[in-house]
Amino acid sequence: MMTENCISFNNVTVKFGSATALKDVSMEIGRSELVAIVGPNGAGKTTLLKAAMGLIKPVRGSIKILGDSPAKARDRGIFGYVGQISLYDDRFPLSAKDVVALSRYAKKKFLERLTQKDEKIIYDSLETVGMSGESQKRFGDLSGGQRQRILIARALAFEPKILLLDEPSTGLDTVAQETFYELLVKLKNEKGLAIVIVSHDIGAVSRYVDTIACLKEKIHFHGKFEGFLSDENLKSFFGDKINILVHDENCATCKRKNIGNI
Amino acid sequence: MEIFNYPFFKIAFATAFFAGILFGVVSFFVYSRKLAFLGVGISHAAFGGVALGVFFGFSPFFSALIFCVLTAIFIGKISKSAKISVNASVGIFFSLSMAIGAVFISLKRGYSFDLQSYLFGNILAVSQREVFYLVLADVLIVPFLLFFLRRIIYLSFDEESARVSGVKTDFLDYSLLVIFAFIVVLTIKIIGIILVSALVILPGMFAVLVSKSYKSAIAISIVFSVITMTGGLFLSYIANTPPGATITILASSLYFIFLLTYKSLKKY
Repeated sequence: MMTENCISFNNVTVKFGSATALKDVSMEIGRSELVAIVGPNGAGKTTLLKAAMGLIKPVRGSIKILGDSPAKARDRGIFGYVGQISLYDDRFPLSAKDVVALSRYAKKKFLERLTQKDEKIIYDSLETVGMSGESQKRFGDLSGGQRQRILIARALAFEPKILLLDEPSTGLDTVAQETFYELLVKLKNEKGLAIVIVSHDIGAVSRYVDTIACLKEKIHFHGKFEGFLSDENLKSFFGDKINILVHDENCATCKRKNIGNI
Repeated sequence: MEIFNYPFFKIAFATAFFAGILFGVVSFFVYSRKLAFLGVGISHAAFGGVALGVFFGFSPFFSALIFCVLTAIFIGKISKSAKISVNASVGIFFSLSMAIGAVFISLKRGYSFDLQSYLFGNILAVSQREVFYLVLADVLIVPFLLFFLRRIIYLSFDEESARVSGVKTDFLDYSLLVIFAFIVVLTIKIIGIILVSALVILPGMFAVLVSKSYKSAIAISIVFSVITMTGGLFLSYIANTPPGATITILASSLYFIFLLTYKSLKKY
């Protein structure tokens, strides 16, 4: 099935001084597509997201977002972005609803108040992520999974076409991760969003995504999860000292699998 | 109260009140943008600015203002480029400015510099004109910050998302730095270089400790600041202690008492 290209990277290279963060990265991500980009720390995952949003300029290659440059796409309000949850200040005096409302205020002119339509969008966003009942709680008092949902609701309230998530599973337990990825699949299907997750954790993410790609300066697409988890692939991206727990839902066939020289 | 029969005390009270509003509002943003250590750096940079003014024969107020604003912008640039950490650059500027101040004051032959008043201030020596400047600063700065309130909150809570959502983060950041530098210079005479950094930090920290929303945090920050400024002034009169230091001790004590007891108080 042909899908409209939302994100298009063409031989993109990003450097910080003499250090290469991304090298000749090419990729196409379409509407209603959920893509996970995995790789070790320092592989260039966050850089890739920032380049897509036009916060970092490539030294070579081109990026198109729905046919526009990343900066223009940003001005058009195309992106919903959820950053790493560990970077948020627990003590900041904002309720869950306040956090979601921020993205509506960003769309407003100065001193313009929120309208009934804005309030409805905020409520609907909270409802979509199953957090309307917690809207008055202080953001810092919520659990990791709940905070992650609120941040998604904030991104949704901005009415984006593309949702970008940086290490969204950090700090979430297994159950919270599963629920979280189920939510992303729902958003992809119901709202037609292109969703890109970057993560160092190939566990829970892999079961829910349409495409999984590995990044370590260069990017390699592996289609569905089954095609990715070969020992050679894992070794080339994560090194040769990996110990993987192969786990099923009931722990009936769980086993430890050593790869490389452990 | 007989104390209000003294004209200098009326001016000091007005100074404490209007400076309190200024500290209260800016303090919340200093907390939000994590500029506390930057405050220390900028307030100490003022000493270098004052000394340059004295040496070259300019008004120390304006030389300190220009020096502090440039320092704030420079530190802001460094923090954006991320080549040196903000704390490291503030640390360097902090000592460099003090060193420049010491050298230029010593080079000014025959000049007796009242170091004590710049370090610790003297709210009782403030003139009517300086109170007018404070009122003007309140009238200009407070509406500006409230005008951009939600965008600054967004920027403070999540800088990257704010940028992606079209918030002009650089403009707001530099505006905050310049406002911050301006307030520091304006209030040096009141409580001094050393103590000003405490009063731009404490009200915001106190407010965040006891508030659930950013709106109440700003209101509490202003109330805390005005109460400690005016209350400290009264206490200093009663105890015959230096006003700037008394205000700072009162504000710090209130903060620490609440920090230690707030969780227990919330249960009742």
